[in-house]
Amino acid sequence: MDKNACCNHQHPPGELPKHHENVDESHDHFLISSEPLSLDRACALVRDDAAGAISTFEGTTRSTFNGKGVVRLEYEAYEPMAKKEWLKITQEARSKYLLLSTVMHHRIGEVAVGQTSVIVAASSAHRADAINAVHFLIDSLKARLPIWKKELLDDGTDTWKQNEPVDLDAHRSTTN
Amino acid sequence: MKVLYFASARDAAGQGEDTINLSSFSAKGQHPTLDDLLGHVQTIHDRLRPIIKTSLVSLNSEYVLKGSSVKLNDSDEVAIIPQVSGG
Repeated sequence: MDKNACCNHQHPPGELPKHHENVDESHDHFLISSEPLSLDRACALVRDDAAGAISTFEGTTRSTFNGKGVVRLEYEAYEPMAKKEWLKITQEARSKYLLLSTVMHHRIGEVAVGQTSVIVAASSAHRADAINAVHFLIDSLKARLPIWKKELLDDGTDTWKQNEPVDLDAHRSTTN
Repeated sequence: MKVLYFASARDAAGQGEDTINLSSFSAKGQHPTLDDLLGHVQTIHDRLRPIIKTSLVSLNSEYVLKGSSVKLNDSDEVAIIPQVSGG
């Protein structure tokens, strides 16, 4: 899509809402926390009068794994490196999609069944950029961020999980 | 210098980190490399051997290739990064 074209009408040159090409912590928000995460807070952080779309992803602890009951997940992170990788991932997202603001929030410590472990959100003038950026951000998080989860089952066993490989090349830019 | 162990690597090492003197694993007259360090931590923690085979490694919070002859300094921080499982 031409950067000056809107989904169903044309903006005169210079009137396209300002999208930011470079990652910047006034528009890109990262948090690793042992406290419960809030989708409302994430949406508030990306809300923008120039946005026509806010897209979100929320990851939650599932109650079963291969037919066995899950009690809880326990997460840990290498926080300084996670922040560095987040900056790189978000810069890549901004080079692929037209974005106003983004959020990546990850919980660490114990996360019980039904609770939220991760929230990703993005705002854009247009839905395709917001939706595709959120998909790219969560796939990149799962592939690259130094965060681990241990799964505790109701039979008393526990396992360090490993994410499936993700094909990040499958994420095409919306804007080219 | 500091070596950090996360997740299954911490379980295998029995601790979250080691502080290691560069002179303890460098050949005389040679500047110690990342490869030397990875060999050394496997002699300290035998149970790390299978973990390191399948882990990534970071140097000062950036992914770095194993089998790398990058030279290390006292202020460096290396981490053993088992396959990640965030999300």
